[in-house]
Amino acid sequence: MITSRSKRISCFHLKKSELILLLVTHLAVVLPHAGHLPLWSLFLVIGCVYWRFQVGIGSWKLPTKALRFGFVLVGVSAVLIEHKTIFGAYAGVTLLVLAFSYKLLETYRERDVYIVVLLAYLVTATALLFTQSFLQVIYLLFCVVLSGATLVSLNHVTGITALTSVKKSASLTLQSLPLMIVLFMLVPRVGPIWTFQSDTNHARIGLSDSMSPGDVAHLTKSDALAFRAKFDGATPPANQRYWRALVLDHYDGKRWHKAEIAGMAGDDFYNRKWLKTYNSLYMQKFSQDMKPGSEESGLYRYNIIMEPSDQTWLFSLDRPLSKTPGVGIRETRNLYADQPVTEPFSYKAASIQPELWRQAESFTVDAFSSRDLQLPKNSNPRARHWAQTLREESETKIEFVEKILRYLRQQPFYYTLDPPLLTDDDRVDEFIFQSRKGFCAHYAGAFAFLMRSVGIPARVIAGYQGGEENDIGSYLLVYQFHAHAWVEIWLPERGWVRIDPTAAVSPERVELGIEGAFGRNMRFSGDHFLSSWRYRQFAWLSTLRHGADYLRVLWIQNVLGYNSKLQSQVLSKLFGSGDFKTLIVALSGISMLTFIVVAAFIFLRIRGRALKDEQLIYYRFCKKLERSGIKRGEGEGEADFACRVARELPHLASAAQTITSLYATLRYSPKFVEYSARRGALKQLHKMERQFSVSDK
Amino acid sequence: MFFSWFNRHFAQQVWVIWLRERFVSWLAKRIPAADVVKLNHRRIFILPTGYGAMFMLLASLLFFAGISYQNNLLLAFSFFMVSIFLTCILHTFYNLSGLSLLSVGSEPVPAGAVAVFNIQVSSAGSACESIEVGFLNHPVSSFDVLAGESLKTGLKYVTTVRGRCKPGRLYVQSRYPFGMLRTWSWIDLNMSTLVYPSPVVRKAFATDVFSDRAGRQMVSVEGEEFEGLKPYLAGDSLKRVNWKLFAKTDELYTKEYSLNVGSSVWIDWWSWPQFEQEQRLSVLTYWVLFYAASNRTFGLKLPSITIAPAAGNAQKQRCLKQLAVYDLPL
Repeated sequence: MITSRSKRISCFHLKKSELILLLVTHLAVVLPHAGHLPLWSLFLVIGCVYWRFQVGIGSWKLPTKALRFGFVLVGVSAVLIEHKTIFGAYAGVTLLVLAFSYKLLETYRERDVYIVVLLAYLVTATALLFTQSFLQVIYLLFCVVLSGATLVSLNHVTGITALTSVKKSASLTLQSLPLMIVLFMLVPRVGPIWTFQSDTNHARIGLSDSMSPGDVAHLTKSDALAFRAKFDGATPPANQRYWRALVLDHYDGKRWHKAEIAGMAGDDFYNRKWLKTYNSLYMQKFSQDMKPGSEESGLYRYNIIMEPSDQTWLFSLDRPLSKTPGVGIRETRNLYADQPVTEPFSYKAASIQPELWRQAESFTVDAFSSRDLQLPKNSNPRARHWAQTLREESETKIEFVEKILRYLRQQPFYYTLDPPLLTDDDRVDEFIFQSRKGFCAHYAGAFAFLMRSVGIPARVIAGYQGGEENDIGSYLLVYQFHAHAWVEIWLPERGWVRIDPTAAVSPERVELGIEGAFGRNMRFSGDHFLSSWRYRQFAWLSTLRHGADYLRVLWIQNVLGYNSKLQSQVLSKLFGSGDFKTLIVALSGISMLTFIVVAAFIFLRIRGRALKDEQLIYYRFCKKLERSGIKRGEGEGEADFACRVARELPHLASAAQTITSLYATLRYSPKFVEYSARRGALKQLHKMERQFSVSDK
Repeated sequence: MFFSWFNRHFAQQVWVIWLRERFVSWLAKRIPAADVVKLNHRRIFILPTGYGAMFMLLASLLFFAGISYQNNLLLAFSFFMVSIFLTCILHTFYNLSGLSLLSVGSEPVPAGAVAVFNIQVSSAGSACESIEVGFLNHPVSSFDVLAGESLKTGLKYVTTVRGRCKPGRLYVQSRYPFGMLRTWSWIDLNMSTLVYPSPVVRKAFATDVFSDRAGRQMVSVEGEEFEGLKPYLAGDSLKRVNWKLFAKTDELYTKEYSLNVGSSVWIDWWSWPQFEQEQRLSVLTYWVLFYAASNRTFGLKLPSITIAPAAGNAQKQRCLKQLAVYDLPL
């Protein structure tokens, strides 16, 4: 019914401001993907943008249809070669970015610009599949503003500068935020219709499910955060902060594995039976303590907010229990998640304090199996022989353990991050009797070997030890360099007991943390200069780092982790009831109210912002004259008014004339539409008006 | 896009015509014709454009993706898009509302020419940016109006036949700022303009005037006296070259006439009996314009009315009006 809008769409070039905004938006939107796009595709993106720029300034021509088809073929086959598929997040995003960039090369009509901007929104959104940090979200907000600015520039029929478009878009975007927040909080969270497991996994630093002595030492070179632990009530002392993650109970002569991996056990039946006993014991003995807020609790209750690890294992203190959905427990008393943790994950857990566990005589739940005694046959004969001799000399198992620990303490064993490589087939022999330089994994592995060799069930525990206190959020920060390995042995009268042979060699490691053990000699791989942890001797920097991490925790818990449960909690707090009916009523009511408030705000703002710069300056000029009695009449032309001023105040005649003519030029001359041309004249007008003073003779 | 497709396939269907008539009569009640129209919520329509619909479609796709991937930020992004769309409604609406349009007249034009209807647009409260105004299927006039300012613009309308031309409703629309919504109004500013017959120069008449022989008879009509010949100068009208003399002497001479300003002429309906009505009106129009342009005193004789000789613009307008509406129902 309506004729198409202005006819410039048939031109093969966009206006300057449109072109600039379009290309800048393009680059800005692709930037968050730069980390996970193949390098060649980034070159293609830049190439397309450059090509479109050259077309825009009239130097080049748009590619022909055949050439564009060729580009598409090259792009798709390159994706196939790179990713072996065109599906999945990585290949999909690469294809999307390529299509987005190729579209630039056929963008000459208005409709094409709309399609490019629509794709820009999509590309912006897909960045959220990869990173969800707060800073990233702020950046994406900026991208949304830029995309909007392109639209503003496109829809302005008389021409507008890029900067003004950005301002207009920014105000509109910011005005949309309140309603977005209301919708985010109150739109009912429905479960997934289809579940996709996003495959946006990176090779991440962290523990792995097998341990050779070098692995943990490698981890200690990373200052990436592993997780945070916030305790309700008492925080355990430093020497009790043993965060269990993995139980490694199979030794193949070189590495310690999880037994399931080696295909030795993993029977569900056993797990279920054990779990039932464990749970009922927990319920019987500690049901009182489980209630939150009970003061005299023998439990550590804590909340773990972990960084993505892409693994299923979770972190907890010993003897844990967790009721967070998706979190389970194994008979080795470690927590695991149903699915790999690919996004920041938060769960609650409780752990029984060791004294209470002992008092409760609950060790009966502990059991060992044959795999806790497994050893490769005929390996490390010297160590075996030495252990057996020691065992025969000692009366009890505990005495035997103490003898070994004393040996570690008294002999010249060194705790070092850069131990010599063990090359012998009998590595335990080599370590105990020759090199004697090692890291926690060496000590734990050798100790467990010695225990097993004399028939004491033993297993290596891989996890983290320690944690840095964050005073701002009052929680513990556990970094990758806190990675640690220790041993648990089974004693008939005490169940599984934790022994940390590293503590015998280097007590500071446990008491003061790894920072204490190595002091400033710790060196991290990777981003040395950017790593704020490296500059921890500056207190204010630590405060800053802790504050930033606290913000991240709030972000993870309240935004990334916002779910129907939190939703009903918020609802209960506001309206006293968290059911679905309240939710719907609240959603419609509050969103309507927000919309009305925003509408009123925009209305007032638009009314207040009606004047252009030169009008404001001229208005001030008239006000100055009005104060000295020369009032500009209704409908009196600017030129006439200037003449009247000249007659009445001859000494100001020239100034008034200049201001008026400048104003008239800015206001009415068509060549002053573009901002670049206006700027100089506007500045001059501003200066003249400021100098203009009626009282000054 | 949709409209053009729709028009191509359905415009002639009976139900479409019926609907259109209903719409027109509804519109006449809702936005009655007036000399000044100020756009407000009663007069403004707003609907998403195709792009706006695509934008919302993308938002809903992202919503389902957010649910499926259990990705809160993706959900937030889709809510953000919805919210931007809703905020856009406000901006687009406010942009057009408050705009006043006033018809400020138009010049008479010959039939078939483009009439320019001048309107004055102003906005009391807020700036109205990227406004487009025009008649259906006619060129668009685009402009920005600043707050408290007014500006004049001409709307083009192609006339077809002589008479009083009423272009009907014009549309005012804008998609600013994001192009996701189009807000528009159909308004009738009671505009009309006079379309007089398109002037036709009749050679027969012209040769009659200037021929040497018949000249004496026609001079009273023409009001010009033949004075003599002078050598041709570049720029002289070729019509006034004495071609007979040229054939004899090979030299160009221009015939000179003296204007007898004081005497009045009659432009007479019955002077061109050989033409039928419309053509005759066109010829008369030509001579009215001719004498008005040369500032002569002239009168017009039509079967229905006789306009006494006079000079000046008023006389021209009077005559043109009579020529425009001659034999037409008023």
